[in-house]
Amino acid sequence: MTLRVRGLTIDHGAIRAISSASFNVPKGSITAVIGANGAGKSTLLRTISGLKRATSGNILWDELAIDHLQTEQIVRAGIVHVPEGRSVVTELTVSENLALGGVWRLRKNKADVVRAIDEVYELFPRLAERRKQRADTLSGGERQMLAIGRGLVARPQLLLLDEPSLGLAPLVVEQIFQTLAQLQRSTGMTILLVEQNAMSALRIASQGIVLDQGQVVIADDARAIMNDTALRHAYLGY
Amino acid sequence: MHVVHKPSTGKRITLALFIALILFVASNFVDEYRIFQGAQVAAYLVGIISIVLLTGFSGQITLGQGAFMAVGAYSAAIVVQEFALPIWLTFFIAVIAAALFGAIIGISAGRLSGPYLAGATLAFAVGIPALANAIPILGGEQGLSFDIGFAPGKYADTVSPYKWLFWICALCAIIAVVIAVNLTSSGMGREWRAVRAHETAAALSGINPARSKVLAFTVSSGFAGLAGVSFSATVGLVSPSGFTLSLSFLLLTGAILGGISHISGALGGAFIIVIIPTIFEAWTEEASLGVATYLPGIIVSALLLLSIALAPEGPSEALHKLRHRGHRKP
Amino acid sequence: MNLLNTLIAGVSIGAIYSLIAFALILVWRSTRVVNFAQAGQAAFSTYVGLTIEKAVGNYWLALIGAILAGVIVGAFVEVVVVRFIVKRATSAATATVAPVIAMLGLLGIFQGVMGLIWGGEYQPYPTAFAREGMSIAGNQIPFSQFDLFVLLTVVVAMSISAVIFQRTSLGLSMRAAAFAPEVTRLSGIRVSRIRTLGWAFAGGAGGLAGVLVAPTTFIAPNSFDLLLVFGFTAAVIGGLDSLIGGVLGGLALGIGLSVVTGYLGGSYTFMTAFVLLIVILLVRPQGILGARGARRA
Repeated sequence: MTLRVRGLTIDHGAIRAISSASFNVPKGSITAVIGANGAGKSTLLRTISGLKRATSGNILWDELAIDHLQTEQIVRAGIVHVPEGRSVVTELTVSENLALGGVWRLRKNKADVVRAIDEVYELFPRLAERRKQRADTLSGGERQMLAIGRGLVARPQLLLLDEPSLGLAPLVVEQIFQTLAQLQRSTGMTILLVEQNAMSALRIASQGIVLDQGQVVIADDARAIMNDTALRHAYLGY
Repeated sequence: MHVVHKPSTGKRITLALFIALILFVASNFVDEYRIFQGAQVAAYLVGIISIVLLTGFSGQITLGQGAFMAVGAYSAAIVVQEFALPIWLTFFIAVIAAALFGAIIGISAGRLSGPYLAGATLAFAVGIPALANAIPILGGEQGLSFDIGFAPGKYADTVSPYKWLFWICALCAIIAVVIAVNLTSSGMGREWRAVRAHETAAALSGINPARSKVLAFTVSSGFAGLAGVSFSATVGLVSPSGFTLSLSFLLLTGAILGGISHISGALGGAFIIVIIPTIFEAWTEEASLGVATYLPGIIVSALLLLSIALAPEGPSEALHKLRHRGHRKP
Repeated sequence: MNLLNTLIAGVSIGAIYSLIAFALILVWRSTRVVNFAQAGQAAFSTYVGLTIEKAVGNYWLALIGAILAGVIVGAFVEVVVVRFIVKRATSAATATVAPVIAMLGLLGIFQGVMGLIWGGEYQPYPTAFAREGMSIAGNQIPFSQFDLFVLLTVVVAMSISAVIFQRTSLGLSMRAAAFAPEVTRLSGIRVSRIRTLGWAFAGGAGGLAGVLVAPTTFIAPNSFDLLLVFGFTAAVIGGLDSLIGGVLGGLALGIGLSVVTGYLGGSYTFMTAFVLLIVILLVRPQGILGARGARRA
């Protein structure tokens, strides 16, 4: 399934966060949305997942228009958003956080929820060691793993990831990104990754979208963006 | 920069004297029951002003303003009973006692936010009967009598008790309005509003938010004390049943309906809460007594709920905004 | 009167405070609103119970009816009023004040409607158990069969709640929605529905509390105002965010007030609770039991 964004405009009160953005996220790709702080990247994800309403434009998930659906319905359509800031429920334990990701489809397929949780433990063995611990006792990297894991338990067809590298040590970032790449290869799921850390993101991505002050300035092959020195200087600052 | 012409204190006092004169003359042409209702409006008006000052200007919520009124009323009744002081003096004592009490509560209230302050003031109002029973000097359920008596000297025969009552309550209300308007248009009123709008910002511009809140609580309680003693004068009695939770609700409703951010709305609010029950007085003979007893309360509460739901800042505030939308921003 | 007897006497009323605290905290956690209308909801539910009792003459049917009425009224209040108010009150100045005033208006409506339907006078509420103190080894203690029934009922209700909260996916959703509504929505859970359930749950607890306390206080439209204040105090002792804290707070308050009543006399009960409330709010607004660990369940 392909996500198609057409002429999307999003306002934050009087401020225009995204103006008339159009792009595709092809099935099975890792698409990286990159750009400076304040470029509108998080707003874009929040709108796709239904936490925020667009001012105009359409978001299509194959044939389904999702721009007027509720967040809960969008999750049920297979699009799962892991917001920035290692969003876990700190008052719940690791295993409760993971279970939370599967509650909505528990009645339909309990066995698969259990299987999905086990898979997350295999993917991130550190979480398995701490399954009875409260989430607020985890390190930053572990919390990010838990946040991603909670998303994976929903068995998404499209995973929206917001700044998974934020505030983490380079080694941990590397580990998480490698896990994501490996996960994508083995499951064929689509990942839309928002990152300020452009280099790490583009390295695992197949496609890159550069946002600048709310506008899509480039949508191209990830490798082409990495190799375009002028472009990197202009928008990515390295 | 736009210049607003605001009347000076002198002009306000002149206007107030003029209104007093009109009321004085008018009171001779209205029947006794309407005069009594006029006294009620005057007493509620002062109570509503005390809420407008506290919640509208200083941003501190109170669900138990009736309790502060009770403090003023009981103080007045006690000094009458124990020391036989003249009635006019008891009004001052009520204001001072309530203000002092308000200062003490305000010191604690200044540190409480939204729901906690609401709960604490509600607890206070709910507890008035229990407190009246616990302290012997307060006279338990029966309460203390509070009779403002007749007009002095030779007027006692010509001025009816209700008229005398109305004059006293209206005078208190007029004085209260003048003081409240002067306070709120002064630097102090602006400080309160600044703290309400943004505490940190206010602190950064040199205002002490804690002191401002305690001061607001003290002043508001003083007004509540005056309202309490006026209210007791209309009843002739100071008792727990006079200061129920419903009284606090009623005043809060008047304040919200009149417009929580403007002193001028208080009069409208006071009229509404006095008039609503009278609408049903005519019904009483035909319909069952229960309807006339409970329907006013339901209507008042429903108005409160509706106004909060439709215009969280109060209906008059919404109108105010609508009217001034044209010249708010370029 | 010896100390042990005084302590025992406070347990059953403390258990009722716990129920009210539980109801207030449940709503506060999910919606950030202190439900002052709970006093009216509980009284309404109790009247429904009393009406069933008068019609059928069965205490247990009345008890169940009251709890169900509480559940329905709680859900109704959330869906019809609260959802709307919370959506409207968005500015900083109105967000905290508006819901409080709205709940007060709702309380007024409840009390008026109850007066219309059932009248204003205090009515007795029957019990299925003896109210005289039981005797143990020839000594009469200030703890009746009815007190025992109250205590056991609350313990059972709390145990069921604990199982629901800790062991079911519904409970997991409720806890998650209370602490992190956005993450919960992103997990595909209908948070607004969970919130309605929370209000329904709290309403049921209020109805149960009403039926348990009414034989002692009698029932009138405003006869639970004081209960609300004690329940709020208990919730504040527990820190307003912790269900366990609130339940323990209720028991502590009931026992503490019983001691005060026993040694100083009944007229000091309310004053003690009021002073306690103010002192806790000033000294430890996070609650005595509301330390970080207690915030959990």
